[in-house]
Amino acid sequence: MSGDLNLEPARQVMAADGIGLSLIELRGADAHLLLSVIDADCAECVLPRHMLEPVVLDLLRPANPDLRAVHIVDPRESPEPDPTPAT
Amino acid sequence: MTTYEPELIELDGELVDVLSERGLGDGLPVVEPTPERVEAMLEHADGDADEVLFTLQPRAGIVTRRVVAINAVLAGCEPAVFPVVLSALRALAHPAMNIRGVNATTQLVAPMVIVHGDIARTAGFNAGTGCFGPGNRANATVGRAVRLVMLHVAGATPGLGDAATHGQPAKYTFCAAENLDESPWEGYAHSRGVDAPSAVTVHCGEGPHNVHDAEADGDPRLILGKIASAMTSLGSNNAPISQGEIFVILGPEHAASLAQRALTRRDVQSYLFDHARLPAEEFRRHFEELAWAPWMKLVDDDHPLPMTAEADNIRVLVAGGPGKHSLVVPSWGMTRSVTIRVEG
Amino acid sequence: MTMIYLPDSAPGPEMSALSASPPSLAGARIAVLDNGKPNAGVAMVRAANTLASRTGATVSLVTKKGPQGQSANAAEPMARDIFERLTDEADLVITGAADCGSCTAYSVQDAIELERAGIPAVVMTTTMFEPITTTLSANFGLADTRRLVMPHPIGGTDEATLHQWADAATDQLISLFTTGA
Repeated sequence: MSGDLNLEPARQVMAADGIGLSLIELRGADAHLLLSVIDADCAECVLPRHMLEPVVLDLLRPANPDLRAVHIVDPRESPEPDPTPAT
Repeated sequence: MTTYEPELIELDGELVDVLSERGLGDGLPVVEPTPERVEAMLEHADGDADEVLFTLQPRAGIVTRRVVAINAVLAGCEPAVFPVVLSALRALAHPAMNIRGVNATTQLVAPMVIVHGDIARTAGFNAGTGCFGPGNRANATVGRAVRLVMLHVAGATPGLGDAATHGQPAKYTFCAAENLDESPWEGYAHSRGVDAPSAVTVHCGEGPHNVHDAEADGDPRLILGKIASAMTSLGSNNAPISQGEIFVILGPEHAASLAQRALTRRDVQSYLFDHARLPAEEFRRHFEELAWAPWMKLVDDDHPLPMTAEADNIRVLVAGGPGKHSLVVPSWGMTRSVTIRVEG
Repeated sequence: MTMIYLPDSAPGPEMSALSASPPSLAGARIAVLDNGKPNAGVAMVRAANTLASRTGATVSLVTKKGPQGQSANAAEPMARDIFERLTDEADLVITGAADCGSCTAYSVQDAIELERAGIPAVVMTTTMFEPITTTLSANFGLADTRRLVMPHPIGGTDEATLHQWADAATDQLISLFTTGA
């Protein structure tokens, strides 16, 4: 996918839910985004990641027709345990 | 738009063995669905390859154009037939088809795919001699692709999602084209209100029952009388289930004999409705549960009842080559055929 | 090295269709299923009452989503006893407000469950959240959910304005219940 990603259509809607979205990187036609909680009053308003990704993809597609997929890094999810055994 | 991406793996060994180990395949050799072949198939699609279109029961497997293309490649389809495969699957996903029941039943039901119109010609389908097999690549592979999707996506695996006691050959492939060139009547799809250059009909039922009438003069009463006889079976699901359709596929010679006596399609339906009958008492004796239209329950025991609730459930079209044969394809019963335009 | 696609696909949501839409609303019982979002009840009750006075329907039940009709988190499906009450006491339901991410998810989920039970259900959402309502409807297996789109926001808007919006939406609401669109 060439060109920059236009995040505005998703940003506006997500802001209404008190969250922010920023681009980590564009890998081919896949966008990797970082979710941030701006308005802590409605933390539970925000969709879980697996529901949020298709929603954000649908919001971004009209302005970014070549976009194939959205992957969201969600700080609400626990990081995966380090597979390296402690020594 | 919701999307879904199927899995890509590195092939290690023969594909037919790899599939078998995973409980996939129909037992016959397959064509490797490489990305290149799948892309070539998708050249004949209109729309996003990974858009979730619908799911198929009982497994609720996701159908996208790419998933269909993969199974079409596997089946040996040439790309030009892709829209027919996809459209047949759309028809199977229609609520009226009751695909959950069709796939799960102990009866041997298989989807029959009939191709109508321009695409039958341009994509090389056979509407004439041997149209139901063997030998024609389009007919054979489209029917097979539909079956592979039933197995791999809908979960109709024998013994798991498919409880058919015996199964049947039509569960490998069951597809032919309507012989419009030799039909004396309006094309079947147009007669059902589908006004499109290309269309497909799917009917879920038994395999074809042959009716051979080679009597001199091509007397309609003898042709239709034999067809009526073939329709009248207590062993078919049409007997206890009156909403079921019965497809009558007339060979061109039989169709010509009927049309020469000025019979229209509607006349054929009416005559068969009137003659393919048994006394109500016989149905009542053989079946504890009868899923019948209310009017049928009112009649006296000696009243001759039709094998279906209304004449329009007897669906007539023309296919095949020279020879004095026609086919009867009874329904599974709790399903309705679907005719739709062909679209990628 | 030959790469091939596997021919099976993952299971997806069971696809449903809208339940039968009644051609007329006269005598129909409408319920309001309120997820407790600010002003959701104000807007929906007004919409239901205006529709009832226009069509001869009646508002049979106004309830929150929690057990025994208590307030519940909007990010949860309706309680089972509430679902039973709706199937007993209503022919039509309006539910919402679908004006945040997760409350949209659960309003849509509730509406689909009601449609599967044969009860036409309208989801009240706002212009800001209409795209999410649309995406989630498709994801949850009924792309054509009946959606009443109100101006945004509902929460924080004064009552008089909400009543105006609800009244203005009556034609659309009637159409959603009687035709699905």
